[in-house]
Amino acid sequence: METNQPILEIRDLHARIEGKEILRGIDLVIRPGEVHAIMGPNGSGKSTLAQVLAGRDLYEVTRGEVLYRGRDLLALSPEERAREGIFLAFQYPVEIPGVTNLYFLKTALNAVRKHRGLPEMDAMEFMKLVREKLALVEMDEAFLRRAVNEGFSGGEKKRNEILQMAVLDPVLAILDETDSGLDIDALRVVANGVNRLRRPDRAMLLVTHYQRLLDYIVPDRVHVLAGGRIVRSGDRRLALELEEKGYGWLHEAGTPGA
Amino acid sequence: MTTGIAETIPAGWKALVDRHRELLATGPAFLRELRRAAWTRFEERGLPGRREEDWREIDLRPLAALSPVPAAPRASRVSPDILDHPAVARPAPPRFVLAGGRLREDLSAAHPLPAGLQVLTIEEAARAWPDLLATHLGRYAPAENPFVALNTALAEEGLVVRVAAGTDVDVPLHLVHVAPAGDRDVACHPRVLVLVETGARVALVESFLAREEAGGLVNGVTELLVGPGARVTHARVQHEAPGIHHVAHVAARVEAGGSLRSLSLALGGPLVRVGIDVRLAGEEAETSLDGLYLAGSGQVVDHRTAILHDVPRCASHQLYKGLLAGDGRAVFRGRIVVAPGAQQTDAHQQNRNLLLSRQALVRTRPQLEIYADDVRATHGATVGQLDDEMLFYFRSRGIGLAEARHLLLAAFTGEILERVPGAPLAGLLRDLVRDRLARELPAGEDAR
Repeated sequence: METNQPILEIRDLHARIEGKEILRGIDLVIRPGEVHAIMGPNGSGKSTLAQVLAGRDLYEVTRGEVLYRGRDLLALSPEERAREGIFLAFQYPVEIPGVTNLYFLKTALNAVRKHRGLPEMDAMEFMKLVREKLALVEMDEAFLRRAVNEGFSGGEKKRNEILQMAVLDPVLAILDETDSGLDIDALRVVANGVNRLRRPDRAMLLVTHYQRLLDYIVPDRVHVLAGGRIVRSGDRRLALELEEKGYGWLHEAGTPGA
Repeated sequence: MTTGIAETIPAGWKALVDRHRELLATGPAFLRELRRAAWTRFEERGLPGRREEDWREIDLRPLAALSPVPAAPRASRVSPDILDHPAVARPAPPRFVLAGGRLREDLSAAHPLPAGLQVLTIEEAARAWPDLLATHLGRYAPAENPFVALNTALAEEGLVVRVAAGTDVDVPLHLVHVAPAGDRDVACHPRVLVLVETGARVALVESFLAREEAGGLVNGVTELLVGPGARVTHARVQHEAPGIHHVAHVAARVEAGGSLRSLSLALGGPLVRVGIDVRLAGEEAETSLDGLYLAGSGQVVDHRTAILHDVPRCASHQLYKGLLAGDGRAVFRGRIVVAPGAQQTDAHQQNRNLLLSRQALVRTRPQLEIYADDVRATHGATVGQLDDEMLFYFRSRGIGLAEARHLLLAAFTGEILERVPGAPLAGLLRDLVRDRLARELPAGEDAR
């Protein structure tokens, strides 16, 4: 088994939306077990990168390639990516009236299981699994009967994302500003859930504006994104440096495109 | 009496003129007079033209070009398997089947009819309760509407449902209207009068069905009187053949403290036009008008609601939802009139539409006429497509595009379907809508 094959390899990735170039040559390699953090000021392209990896067709990839476990990721539809093990925890999870959380989770899990050649879960097995995962994010079972994200508070929405992640058991989890809008207690719950999902065969990419999240989820690598490129990479001390100096110095340093 | 027909009447409708003349010769005098007067009104005016505001969006020329025969003589030929139709699937009793507007007792299952509930044909009722019929029949539907006039002039046996004061009918009563199929187009004029007396409660489902090969006109009128404190649910389900033009009017009067929940499900046809008028005539009366309509290629579905707040402290809520595919078209016009002095009125209207193709079209227009000053009235209309963000959310969780679409459409339609009285019927209709959507939606993961 090629344990050291990267889970994600991004090479010279360029992407644009409505003619405007947002990503201008991203290079990034994430190996199994690693947690990487992408930090950067607003508008630097962090969320775009997350969305492009999940397959959002609003964005057009104009150059470069992305390999996921050695395969061309960009050739896959969003649902194929999810079934292959990519999970995006959204910054702003959408509300879906009329579809219960329970039904949504079960449909998603069975779609993923079917792709992996596993039988559909029956109601009993499924409930057992979901109860276990609910505990992970300290959510009440009553959430399952509510419509997906409808009327959820910001913290509930983020916890619901982590619940879905736990149920779908991804290989690569991309967390887009999962810390935004959370108070300190909610942040702790969400971070705990994420930490307990860290595994040697799983990789995570945390997209965040603030280093606060990284006090709770300690990354192996930190990258600074500015003007659509990674301008610095380092270990977690880089995040602390950013916390201290802010993002202003990036512009002063004459970052291309900033 | 001349044997010719007025020039306002389509030339091909001669057989209907003859039928009307036959009907003038039968039944109680007041009924004959009602028919005669209605025919005169229809004859004076003819079918509405497109210059008439209320009919501007509707092309009646294909209907006028038909040469239909009266449906009644064919009623006896409707075979029992029509009850296997997916929209009814053998409704449990009490059910009444009207073929071409005439009661088919052999297909009906009246027993056990709950105590306090009586169902008679209009002629039987006219004999049994002459004063009641004279007071109520034709009193609520707008007589000046040409299709209402045509129905009154041509209605056959029809049905009167009477619920005695204080009666609580706990199973839905099902009326199944069948348009008979044959070698010629038919014209059916089903007529129903529902009288619900003080404090009674009842749910009524009217289904309009036809075999696939049927064609012609179904022109129904249902009048409802909701007595003081009575609670009535009236659901209508239109699911006929591609050749059936469906025009209908539901007219209700709700007395003090009464409540009417109205539901209209229209699953499409070359022309479907449903008018629903509710007059809130007594204080603290309330009504909810909900609807779901589907129109696919070549289909037009048009709903007009009118809620008249005559007196203070009444409430009305409307939620109409539409799904349009292919080059399907829909119209929703919601009129709310708050009379002078009808203070503390609460009136809300929502119309939401989803277009599943670029060629689909919907016209939606609220019409609020408010003559009182202490009123809460809101309205809103939306026309959109399936939300890309929602679809992406599903897909990002491994759910394919086709399934994501179906889940979103099921959620969209479910909000109305869950209001259908009676679990078995609600389930059937949900399946029906799902199957219909499966046919209307583009297949494949890439279709958008």
